[in-house]
Amino acid sequence: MIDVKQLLTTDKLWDYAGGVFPEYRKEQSRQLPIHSAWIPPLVHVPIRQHIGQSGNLIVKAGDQVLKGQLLTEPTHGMAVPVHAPTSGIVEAIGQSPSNHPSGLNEVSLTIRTDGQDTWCERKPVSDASSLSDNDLLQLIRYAGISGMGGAGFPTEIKLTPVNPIQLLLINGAECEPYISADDTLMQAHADEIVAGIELMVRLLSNPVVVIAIEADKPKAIEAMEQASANLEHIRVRSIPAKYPSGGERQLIQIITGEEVPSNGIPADLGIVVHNVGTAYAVSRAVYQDEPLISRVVTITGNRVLKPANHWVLLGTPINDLLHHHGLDELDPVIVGGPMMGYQLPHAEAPVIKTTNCLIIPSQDELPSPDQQMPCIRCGACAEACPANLLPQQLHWYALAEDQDKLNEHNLFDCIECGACAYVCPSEIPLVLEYRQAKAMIRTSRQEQLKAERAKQRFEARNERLEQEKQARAEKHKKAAEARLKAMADKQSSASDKSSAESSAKQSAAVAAALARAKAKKASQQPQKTMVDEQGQTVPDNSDIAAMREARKAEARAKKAQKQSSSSSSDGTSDKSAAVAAAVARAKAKRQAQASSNEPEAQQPKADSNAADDKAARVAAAVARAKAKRDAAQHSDAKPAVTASSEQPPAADDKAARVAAAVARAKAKRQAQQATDTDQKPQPTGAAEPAQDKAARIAQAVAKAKAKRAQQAAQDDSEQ
Amino acid sequence: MNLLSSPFTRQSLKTHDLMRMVILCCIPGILVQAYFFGYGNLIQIALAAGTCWLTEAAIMIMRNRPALRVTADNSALLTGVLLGIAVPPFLPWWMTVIAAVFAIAVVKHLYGGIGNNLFNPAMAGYVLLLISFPVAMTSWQPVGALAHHQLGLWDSLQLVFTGFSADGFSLQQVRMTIDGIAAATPLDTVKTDLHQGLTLDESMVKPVFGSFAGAGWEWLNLAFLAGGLYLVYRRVITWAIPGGMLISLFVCSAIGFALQPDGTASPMLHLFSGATMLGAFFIATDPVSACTTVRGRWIFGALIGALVYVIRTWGGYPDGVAFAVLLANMCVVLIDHYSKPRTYGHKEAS
Repeated sequence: MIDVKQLLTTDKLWDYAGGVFPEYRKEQSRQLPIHSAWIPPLVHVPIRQHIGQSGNLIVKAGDQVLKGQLLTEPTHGMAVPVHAPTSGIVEAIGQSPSNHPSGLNEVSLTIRTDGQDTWCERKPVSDASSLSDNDLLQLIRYAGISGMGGAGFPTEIKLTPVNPIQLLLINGAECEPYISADDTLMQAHADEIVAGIELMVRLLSNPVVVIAIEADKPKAIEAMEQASANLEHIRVRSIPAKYPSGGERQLIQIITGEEVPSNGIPADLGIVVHNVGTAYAVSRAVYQDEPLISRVVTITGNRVLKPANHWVLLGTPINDLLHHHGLDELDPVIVGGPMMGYQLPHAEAPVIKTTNCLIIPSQDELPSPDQQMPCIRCGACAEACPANLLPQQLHWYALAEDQDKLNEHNLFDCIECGACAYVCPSEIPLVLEYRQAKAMIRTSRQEQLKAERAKQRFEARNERLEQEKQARAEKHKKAAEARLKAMADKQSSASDKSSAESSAKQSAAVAAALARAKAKKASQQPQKTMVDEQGQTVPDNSDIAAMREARKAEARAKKAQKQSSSSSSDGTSDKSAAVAAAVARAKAKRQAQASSNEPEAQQPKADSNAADDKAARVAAAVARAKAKRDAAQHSDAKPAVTASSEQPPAADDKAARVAAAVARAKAKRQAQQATDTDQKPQPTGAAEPAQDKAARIAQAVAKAKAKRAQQAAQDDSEQ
Repeated sequence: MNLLSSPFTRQSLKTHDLMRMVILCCIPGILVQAYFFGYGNLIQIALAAGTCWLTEAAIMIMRNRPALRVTADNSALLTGVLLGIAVPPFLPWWMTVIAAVFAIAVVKHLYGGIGNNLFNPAMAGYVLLLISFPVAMTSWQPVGALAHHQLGLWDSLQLVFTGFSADGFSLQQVRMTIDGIAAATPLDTVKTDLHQGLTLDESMVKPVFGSFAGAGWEWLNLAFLAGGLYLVYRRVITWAIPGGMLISLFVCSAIGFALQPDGTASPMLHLFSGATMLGAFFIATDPVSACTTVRGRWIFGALIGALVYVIRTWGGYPDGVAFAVLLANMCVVLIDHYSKPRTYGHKEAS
């Protein structure tokens, strides 16, 4: 951590690596006064003028709006609202050219101004100490303030940092050539800037304040020193004029000697940096209740007759500004400085919150680059780079599209200040190359991620298909065996029923115990209850039906089990899981419908009949067989399942729970039937065995369905 | 106007300006050289520069590139000028032509042209001759005042192109000093004398030596030093390479001299004899074949300085700048790799 108190007294300034000394050419425009704003006939207010999302529109075409009226509502964290810069009628809300190098259209409100400039109702605060911190932050948020230096980061967020802030650095460096917007703002409104700084100081719990201004702005330095003369925690520092001293990271290094970690932010060092323009906007928002609807724009360049600074309403079309200066809208316009600015593709684009300068250069003032020559490895770029990168190596690797090497040479630490391209004797457009390389790497990272995901999905699907195939083969085998065994049992039970029953009971108990152990070892709860039963198989068509039913349940249970065992943290939804869940739900619903009819119709009949243990035995036998099979399968399937457990569906839980509930219901039904038959006396006679059997089966099915449906419904409603 | 991408403003020194500036800064040295050694060097420079330019143009035509635009970068001219300065003034013309063609065609363009060559073209051409024609390449004139024959421009031309001066003297005859002994350069003299067991003081009294280094050669080196300092002042080159080389050469020779004052050449002799200053400011600073990182350049310069000392003291050649530069060229990639600067915000250099 830095010793901030010492910053108030020390004369020491640090230096950063590299930097260049372009011709500043600020004298043309830096004279006061700042010309006041005029009202253009039309303004285009883009709903997003900062880094982050736009707010939600709260006006519609045809609405009458007043100056300062909120046009969008900031609904989420990074959203910043926009306001009507003057009174008029919202003529349209639609796409219009953006103030962006791409020149793409963006959503904007077009307001036909009425020239009255009527303010909406304002509630200026005279004493900010009467406001709570939260009120103050809300005020700043609703005033639509985002960083005025260039990046346009929402100011309110920077005023509510996670780390404690020890140093508030106010950036008045304005190191880019030509621009003098901050310079004149400091000269003309130093008191208000300091008032804004004081509000920031309060919100940041009293950090030390250093206002850094490049030494070529003596008047601004003087003004700021006067305005902050009585405030001991504020210090104005004059820093050497060198480009890019106004870069956030470079400025921190100049003032504190510290470097912001590569992937970090200044707040990691207990520092926050705000532009002087932002401090001014904060002050206006609180003390005048004036949202951010205008800013100072430097209009300069050799083609401008009277270079000067103007207050410009945000949303003023740039061609309107050009006409105002007697210029043709076909003249090329550079937005921002000549080092980092961009050429405007459409002059209809509006002035936005981050537009600090418009340069309309003459042909020889900022000449087009000559023919690019091969790199002669002179290394001038490496000496100029303020981030201490090796621009020339990056150039070679960018040409070769060698992403590994680009990352190794820290491409993403490039701040795109343009110092390397400025000094390059071969006129290689280095910054452009780096931007393209960065875009290339970002794209390929995304593609890699997508491919990885697709691969996982594909593998999981293959595995699932393979498992299903195996399970089917196994089932067919078991079914065949069961049929054979049932045939044999039928013959033996006919000869000696009671003895067969007792021996069957014994063997069933052993099998059940074994199955229990296996099931416990191999898998989760849903199947456990199934194996606690015993019974005897009887040869009949009904056992095939029961088996089919059981197989279905088992398949569902298995699927559910597989999915529930593959739990993971990733929240992406898996289609197959969602489908399974949907199917399960649909089944549950269908069964619920069916069961509401069935039980009443069939229950009396079933009750009146003499107890027949055959059906129960069939069910129990099926359960036993199933338990065995499950145990075997789970011990096989598990490794594969865990291997594929990367795929994580969030919807899995739902599907699993539904399927598990279904399985549980079946098991319960079978358990109930088995115990019933054990307790009940032996049938008096076999007078009507065929009808009895059918009735019992129907009853069991109905009961189970009812239960299942109930459970499923319950599960559904829980979710 | 077609302003593509930021930055829209650029500093005014372009590649061809840089090359021209380096050539112009050679002029003081060239004039001093002509004063002491006759017109031979002007002939060699014209010959080498012309050959280099034509070779480059021919190769550009063969590669279907715009010959005039590429050769306008002055880099081939610079190579020729440096080669012309480096070779002995009365070297047979065809040797210079061979070196020039080799430098441009093989060393520069077979590697891909400007920006891609691994070795310093001028020095590679020079070394080709030095290895192939060692006698001719070490046949330097005695400085003007010591020479028996004073040659005019016509004589010089005849000597270079026919091997005999207008009066019919051969190169070896021309090289006779007033004492009737074949002239040797100061470095050669010291090397031979020390080898023969003379002390440095005994050797330094010979007329080939001047007030603090070789007669004439000391002025030549001072002239190149002046031109080089101007280049540094104009930021055409940086301190790193010449600084590293001169400091390293000074330190090495000072240590040697302190350990064995009679048996080795003095630091002053090293710094102001032979091709030291030419090498430090004009040859080792060739950006293409030098290191690119700032630290790497200091290392690169220091390596050249140390190699020059080693070759001069223990090697088979009296001077070693050309070899030292080529050897250091080979190490450039390695040095660059290990001298990456620490990027802002990173703890370690990656």
